[in-house]
Amino acid sequence: MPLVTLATRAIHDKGASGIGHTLTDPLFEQAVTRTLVLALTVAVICLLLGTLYALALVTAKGPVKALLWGALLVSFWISLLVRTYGWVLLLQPNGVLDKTLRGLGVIHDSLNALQTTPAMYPGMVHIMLPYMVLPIYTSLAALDPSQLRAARSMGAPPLLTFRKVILPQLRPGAIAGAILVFVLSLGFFVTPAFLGGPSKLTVGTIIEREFNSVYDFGAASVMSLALVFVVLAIYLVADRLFRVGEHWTAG
Amino acid sequence: MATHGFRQAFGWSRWVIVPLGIVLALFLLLPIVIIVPTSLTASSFVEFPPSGISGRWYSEFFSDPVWTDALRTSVTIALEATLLATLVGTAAALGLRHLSARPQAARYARSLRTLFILPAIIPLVGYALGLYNVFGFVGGSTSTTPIVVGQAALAFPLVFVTVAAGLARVPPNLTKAAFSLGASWPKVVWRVELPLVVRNIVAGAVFALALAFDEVVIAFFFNSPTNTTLPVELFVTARESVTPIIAAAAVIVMLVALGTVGLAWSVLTLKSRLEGGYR
Repeated sequence: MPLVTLATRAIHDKGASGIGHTLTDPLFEQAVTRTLVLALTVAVICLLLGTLYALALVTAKGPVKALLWGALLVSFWISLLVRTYGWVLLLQPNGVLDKTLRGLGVIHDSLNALQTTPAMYPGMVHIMLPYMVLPIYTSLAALDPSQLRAARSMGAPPLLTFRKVILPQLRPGAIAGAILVFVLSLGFFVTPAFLGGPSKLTVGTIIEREFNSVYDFGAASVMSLALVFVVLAIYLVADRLFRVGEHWTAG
Repeated sequence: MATHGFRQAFGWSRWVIVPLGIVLALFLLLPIVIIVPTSLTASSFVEFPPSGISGRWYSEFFSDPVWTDALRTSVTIALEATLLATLVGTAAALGLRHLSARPQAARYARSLRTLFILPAIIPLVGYALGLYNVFGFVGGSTSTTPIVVGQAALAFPLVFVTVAAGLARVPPNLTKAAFSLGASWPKVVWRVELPLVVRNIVAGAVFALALAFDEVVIAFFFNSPTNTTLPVELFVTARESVTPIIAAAAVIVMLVALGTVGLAWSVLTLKSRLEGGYR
């Protein structure tokens, strides 16, 4: 129902030409480009790091395994707002990063890293990584150990085993995770708002700006509708092709 | 677990994989490592490493009505949203099981399932805005009702998925047997299916609670002086100023989430130990 009113609001306030205007507004187009690049990069980085993390999870034992699980679950359960705020403290002028780099003699002035586009990346990767690790881990855990033994007993080197046995096994989880991260990143609000700030708008933050500062509800509705439509389309297609929904719910 | 197999399969390369994993784990823990000491600083400025240790910012948090009101609002809203989400989510999972049992309805069951998961991926900003329009028509957008409804909708998939996963392990024959003995559907649900998935319902409710307690986007869109939640207060203050009290508030939000999960986990393990290990 909220989606229906979004549509009526968009059409009622703006009309067909207004919708076109809103969507071709240079500010919005910039935000879309920035968001797409961000979401895609974050998904790829998370895919690589998440695979690595999942592999470490299945390989490690003892206290190391406990540390890996602990870090994953704690960061999964701690509010993303709180985690993002941690990044603010890290990146802000005179923050931890500035002090560390200055202590090492790398820089002399403040880096002024906060409220720039690059500042969003580590925060987004940090928030999204658990969403990637869990489906990959679920896929890996389902691997039959005898396949690994078989590969080993036939003298396969680690790399070949990885390519032929492990990679096919983790692929469905990895695809599901990557799509989830990409889709979630598209509409993300809190992290870009904190780390990117008011000048580096993403689709999420530009909608909030239209709503809360510009008071153009029509424009906000049009943008939201476009965003929701894209996200739903990706989800439904992905669900059809890879049954991603089942991987997310298995975790 | 296949740990042993993986260790052997990776051979020497596990000496690369595991250390890199540790680095990533530290990366995941980094913000917490920074926030906690910052909140304990004795000075009036945000400093890392903190100069002196004191609980001063926590006592300031608890003596400032702005923050304590926000905390109270948050707890109330989160509990209401959890209750709503748990009821509806459990009902949806039970209903779907009932529906899937009939061949002619199984097709709709799959579509419904997709529909039930949707709230988890719909962009929050879009959803919040749409909800704002709804309550703009019916009124009451400054009360806590829309936040409760919105967060419940958001938490609904978590409950649904958790309960549905539990139901999937309840053998269909159990349900069939109860039906063939003449029990009505409500009776089957109440006497057979529900008791078997209590754990899942509790787990789903905990997920919902943790989610609702630190949800910020919906609460932010409906923010008014009377219904500011703790995360919204944190968000708004952090956007405008830099003070250690924000770090203290962040630690409190963090402790509530971890405390809820920890409590539920110990209750559930204790319960299963008392029951002598069902599952």
